[in-house]
Amino acid sequence: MRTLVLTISFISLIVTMGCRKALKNAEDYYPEAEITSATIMQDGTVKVVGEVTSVGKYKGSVIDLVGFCATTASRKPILNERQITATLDGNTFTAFYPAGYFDEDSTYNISAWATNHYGYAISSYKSFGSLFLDVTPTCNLPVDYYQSGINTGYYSSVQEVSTNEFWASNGPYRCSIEFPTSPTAGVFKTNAYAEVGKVKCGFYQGGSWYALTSGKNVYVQKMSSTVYRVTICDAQFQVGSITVNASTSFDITL
Amino acid sequence: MRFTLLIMGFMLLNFYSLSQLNLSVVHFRPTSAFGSAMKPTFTAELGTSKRFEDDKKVRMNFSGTLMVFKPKADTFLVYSVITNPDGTSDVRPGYEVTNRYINLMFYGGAEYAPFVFRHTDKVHPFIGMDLMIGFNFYKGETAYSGLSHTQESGNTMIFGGRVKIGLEYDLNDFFSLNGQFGSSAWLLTVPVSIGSGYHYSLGMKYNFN
Repeated sequence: MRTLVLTISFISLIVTMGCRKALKNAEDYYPEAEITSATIMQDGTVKVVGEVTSVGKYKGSVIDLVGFCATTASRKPILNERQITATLDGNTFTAFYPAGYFDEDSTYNISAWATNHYGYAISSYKSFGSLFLDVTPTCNLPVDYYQSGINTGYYSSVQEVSTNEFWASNGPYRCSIEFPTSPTAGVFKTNAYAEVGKVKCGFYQGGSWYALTSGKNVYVQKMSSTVYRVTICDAQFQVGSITVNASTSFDITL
Repeated sequence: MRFTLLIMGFMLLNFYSLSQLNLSVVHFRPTSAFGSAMKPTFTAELGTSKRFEDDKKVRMNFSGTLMVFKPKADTFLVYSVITNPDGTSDVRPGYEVTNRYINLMFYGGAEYAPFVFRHTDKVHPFIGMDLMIGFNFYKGETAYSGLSHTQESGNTMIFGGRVKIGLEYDLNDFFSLNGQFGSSAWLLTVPVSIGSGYHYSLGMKYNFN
């Protein structure tokens, strides 16, 4: 009886496996996706939307991962060039490149990609140029102005300490800002350290440096090809147990 | 050399014992996961089995074949997922190339002809099942961007079986024609993977006894 059961199981397995007809071409097994749009958002992030047009023609195929890749070269991007994975919702998937990720003066070829059990496929690309954000701060401050607690005034100089760090100074009083890379237009968040979408910012006063509370908006407007205007509205920093409000606006020249 | 001697020994043993020689042309079509990578192929199968007789509806059969497979693409696009310390994932592109994929397979099993057509005793429909043992010879390479580049070459044992349904027609006392359709599957031992497919074959048998 056991032999009969084993024999029937063996035969069934072989017949079952041998009956799933294969597709003619290897490419038929891969998924297909296409990029729909790339839009720069108010916070400087770039929203990219794509669509899965095929999960793969072989029955039972499912999508594993989806995302986007981008390049400035005149070709389709490679899978791991400026890669970002996306969230799939039905057939549509969306991802957000952080603020400052793209150079606003360059044109980018962006493709969508998708993977399944058999491999991956990259869509034809769409070109997006001048991903330049028109930033509007929530406050209107004079240029080179600062207000920190009871201290107000105008900076006497703004100097470039490095390609991504700048000091706006008036005597011993100073506002420093550090970008993750060279400045770009966008709305960044204050943070303990500079990284994509975030800046390290604080004030020197009374011989000490005080970092701005994390999570506050820092507006960076592109005034010209070499001039960016930094505006901070109603941020805070701690001096001991005291919370000090601070606002400032100054131009940095590359 | 060892494989050649093995084949010759196998065939001589069976020809001596069964006094039959069957040569078939086989069209093998890979299926399932194996079919995603390999194209259909033609091959020949050399075997031996006795004739069906009125009082002998079951017969043993032995055969061997060499199947040379060609991949469906010069390069297959594969990928690897790397999980970063911060929990994000990177998808690294890669490619896979198959330079050689050859199966040397030996079958042994039984066929059963449950009945003979009423108007002739020359036509024998049959069903059968074989066990298979053999070798796979593989050469290829796999690479993932920024991670690894591996070239592999070697051989491994394969085990499997097949089921079949066919028809045999006795032309005369010496020659028979046979046609067959079947499904087969096998397991590669290193690395562990499964091959499968179905086949059509047309053959001629010579009874030299």
